[in-house]
Amino acid sequence: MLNRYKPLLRTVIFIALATGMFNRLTWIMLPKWDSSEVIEWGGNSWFSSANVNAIYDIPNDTIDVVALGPSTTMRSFSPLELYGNYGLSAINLGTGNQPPMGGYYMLIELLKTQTPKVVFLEAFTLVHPNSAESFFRVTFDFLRMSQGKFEGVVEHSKSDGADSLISYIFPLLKYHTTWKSIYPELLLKFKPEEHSTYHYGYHLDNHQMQPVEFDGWEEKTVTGVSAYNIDAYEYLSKTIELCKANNIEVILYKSPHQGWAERDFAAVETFAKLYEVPYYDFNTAAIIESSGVSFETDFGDPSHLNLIGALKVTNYLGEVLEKHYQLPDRRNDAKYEHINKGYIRYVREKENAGFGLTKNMLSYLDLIESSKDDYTIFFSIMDEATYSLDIQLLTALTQIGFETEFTNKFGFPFIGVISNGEVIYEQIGMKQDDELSYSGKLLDNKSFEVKSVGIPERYSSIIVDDVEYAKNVRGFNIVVYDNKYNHVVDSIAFDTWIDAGVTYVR
Amino acid sequence: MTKEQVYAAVNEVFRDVFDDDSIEVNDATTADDIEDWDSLEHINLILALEVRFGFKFTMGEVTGMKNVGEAVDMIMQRGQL
Amino acid sequence: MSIVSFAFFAFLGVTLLAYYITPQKFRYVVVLLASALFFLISCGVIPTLIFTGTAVFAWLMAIMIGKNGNRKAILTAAAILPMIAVLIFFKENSFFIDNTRWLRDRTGILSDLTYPTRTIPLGISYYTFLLVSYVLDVSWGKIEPTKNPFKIVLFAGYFPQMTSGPFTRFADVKNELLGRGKFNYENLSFGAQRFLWGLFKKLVLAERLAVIVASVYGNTKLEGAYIFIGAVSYVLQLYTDFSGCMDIVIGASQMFGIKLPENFKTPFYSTSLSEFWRRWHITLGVWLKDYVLYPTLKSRWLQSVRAFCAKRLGKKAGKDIATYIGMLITWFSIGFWHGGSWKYICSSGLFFFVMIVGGLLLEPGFKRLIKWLRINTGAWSWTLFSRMRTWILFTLSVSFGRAADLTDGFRMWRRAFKYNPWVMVDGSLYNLGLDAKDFWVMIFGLLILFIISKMQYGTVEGVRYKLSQQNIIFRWIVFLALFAAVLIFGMYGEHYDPADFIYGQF
Repeated sequence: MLNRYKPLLRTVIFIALATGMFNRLTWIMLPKWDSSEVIEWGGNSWFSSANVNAIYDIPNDTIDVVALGPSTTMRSFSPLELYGNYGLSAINLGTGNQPPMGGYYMLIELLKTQTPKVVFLEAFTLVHPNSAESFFRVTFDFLRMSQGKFEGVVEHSKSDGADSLISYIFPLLKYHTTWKSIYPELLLKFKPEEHSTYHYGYHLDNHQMQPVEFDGWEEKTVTGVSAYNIDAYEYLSKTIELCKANNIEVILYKSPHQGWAERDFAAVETFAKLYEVPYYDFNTAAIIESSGVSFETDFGDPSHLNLIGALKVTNYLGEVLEKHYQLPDRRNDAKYEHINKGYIRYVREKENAGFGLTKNMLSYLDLIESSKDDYTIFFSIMDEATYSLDIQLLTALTQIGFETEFTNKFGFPFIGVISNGEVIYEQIGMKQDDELSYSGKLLDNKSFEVKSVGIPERYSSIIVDDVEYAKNVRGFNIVVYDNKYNHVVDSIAFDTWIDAGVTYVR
Repeated sequence: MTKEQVYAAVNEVFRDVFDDDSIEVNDATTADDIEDWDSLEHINLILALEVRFGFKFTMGEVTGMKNVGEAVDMIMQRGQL
Repeated sequence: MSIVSFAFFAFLGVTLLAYYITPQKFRYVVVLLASALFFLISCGVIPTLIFTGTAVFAWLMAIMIGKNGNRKAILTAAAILPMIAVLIFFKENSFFIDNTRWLRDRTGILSDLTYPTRTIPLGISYYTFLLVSYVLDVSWGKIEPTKNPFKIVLFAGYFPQMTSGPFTRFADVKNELLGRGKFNYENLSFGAQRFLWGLFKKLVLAERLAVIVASVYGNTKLEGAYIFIGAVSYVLQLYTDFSGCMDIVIGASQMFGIKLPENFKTPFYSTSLSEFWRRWHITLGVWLKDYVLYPTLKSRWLQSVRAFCAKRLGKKAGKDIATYIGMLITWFSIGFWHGGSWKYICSSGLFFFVMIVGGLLLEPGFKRLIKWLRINTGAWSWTLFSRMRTWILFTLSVSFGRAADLTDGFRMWRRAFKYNPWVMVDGSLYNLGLDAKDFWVMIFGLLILFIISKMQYGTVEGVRYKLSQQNIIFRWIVFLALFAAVLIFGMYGEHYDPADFIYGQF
């Protein structure tokens, strides 16, 4: 009797295997890391995909606060800061240019396994959306197929055509060519929390934009009411209604933005009043003052905050949460150990970011001196770096441990390596056209090689784990390596021929 | 004519078409048995048999013929013996 | 509908399901309806009506021929000539338009004749021949005319055949096509395997080869070794594309339990051009042999030519000349069927005629040469030489078919006389449209193809049978690996458009 059904059984099992393999291949081929050469996403590709994936990785029923929105959310809202200062369990589900429709369906997916109490919505896309296909893909491709996703892609494909629908249901159609850039790590389980740059969705930016006269300043004062984008309006409303139906509080906010104008604020305020949700706009004078946001120092680029700005916004919102919403403190709760782990790493990355935010050599050397532990720092002179060294810089160089005399060494090459606070190598050239070189191993066994070649060849090379990091421009080329989490933190070159460490290249 | 005589005549035709005096056909002989019997020679063979026995095979019979035995049967039915 | 499109897979799946759910008696109706749907989707209503009309016409004429024995000749001609005329009107019209241009321009008659632009009925080159064969078979008494017109419509319009054949005979397929489609597990399984193998050949190999071919043929600056690479790639592309298509089509048909004849039998193992055409596009050769060559050779006018020559030049000469005339007409037809332009007539037809007849004429000379040189024709090395010689001649001939016309083809080959073999190894091959990774996938795939072909050549029952004898785990690994290979390495999806099957244009 069984014999008759054996072929059928075999077929069914085989089809199951084939389907499983198909799904696995789809998952493998989906771009996860920074694969901008493979798929043209509008920047932030790795971070965006990690954020969507996180919906499935965070342990169930642990999230209390969610933030949705485009890159302005990703760079302004730091969940781990909220954990450290207020004990909150939060997650940032921002993705590059997130269309509210995408955010809506991401939230639906999240609500299957989480019961958040508060949802933050960043208001940028209500009036300034970017409807390129790639931004929809980011939010949908990493969501597992479900009724919600299906509904969403059908809705979206109405404007795009059947072909697009098929490629959403079978992403392999679009992504199978990524086999060319595949490498072994991609085959492992995607654990964003184990990646050093994942901070529960917050995209840490350690650049500080030079404050310039931005054209956008004119726009900021334009009055009136901006027009809403229809799709964004529809789905932000839906999101708010979804939250209300699930007893979730909604808070609307707008991060500081060099191009956000009066009329944009007016439009969002009207919307917020209509839906009876609080709205905090960090471009208004009152909030700028009480949060301490500065348009001079807090931006990584005209639209996005750097770490300094993000901390101010996050802490302000944290105060709001503490004052008006009773959210539990999750510190010292074993169930939230995963956040604690992330927090420890986050604290370290904030320290690391300090290097990137420092812009003159004296401060840089001071920073090195105060945080020498657990860093390996490489120095290499390119061309000339001693002419403008003033007494302060020379003292600072001595204070971090260098015994080399830098005076009267015009154009001489130099190599220095400091590891965990100790100078483990320093060498200045005997003459200008000397070639210096030193190689060794870092504490985690990765190899490094430092070179400094003087006039006339002049170059600087600092290679860590087979990758070149030195800026190779005139001056002191410095590379900082974090020994705790094993990655390069900063690379900068101070042109100390031309001035005392004010001119730099990063 | 008797069947043996028909076979003898058919054999003559074969020897002539293939220019080989050692050929001996019987009712089971097929194209596989004679080296030069390919599709071109097949039609030449048919034509030669038609001339010898004074009747025409139909196209259906030409392509459907499986072995010499079948040909002989058709010859016995319709040929001018 | 392209047979490598997602739509076709879905169509096939649904049809298979419907087929096996339907009670056995009505299964052929499912296939009929599916074929009708396939037609409608592929080319629209009017061409479908043209096809149906032609099929019904053939059915009707066959019945009349069956009834009126004495007027057979006239009726047969009246049946066949219009169908062939319609075919030539749609497909080979360029022969008449181009070759009479000079005359038309001179005399002003029909001087503004242009190529017709109506939608061509799907598979007209194939179904016309099928219907002609049906009528002729009835006329010659091989089969009885069918009383049911649906059977003829299904025979001529069976959807797997409509893109590129193979040519079938009514007598051969009617049992399975119109019979009671019994479920057979082996058919389903072997058919699916073959289908997958065809997808591999087409999507992984043929598509990549097409890129190389297009690059070489499209760039008149390339010379020397590139020309050879282009020609070799083209013949391989033809083979993988066409035989891959056959695998897909025959495999799909096998899943319904309907056996279609082979079109390829490891053709590159042929030791002579004659043998080659018994292994390449087999059903076309057989069709032309049965319906063009034999009737021509048997015809009265050719008989009189033979007698005429026999009188003047001897019996053998008479026989040979008649044979050659018959062959000329046949080869011309093969070339003409491929396309009305002289490039097809020559590269797919006349060239082979010249080679084969030349071979026949020179045969005694060659035999003496072989004897004099004491060449051992039983040796494997001789077989290898014969195979290479055959393959080279075929490659040379069809390479003209890809050029824009004969003149272009000759120009291209003139460029081949440059000495630059280094392009084969210095990386220039990666500039022909395929990057290094794609290129090596192609090479590796061709290697696999070669190995499987060798296995196929060596077995009687075929590779699939041999595979079915192995252990289930091994079999499943092979299938899953093949499936994965097609999914990952196939050139499909948003970045590619599978070049229309080459033989779909005929």
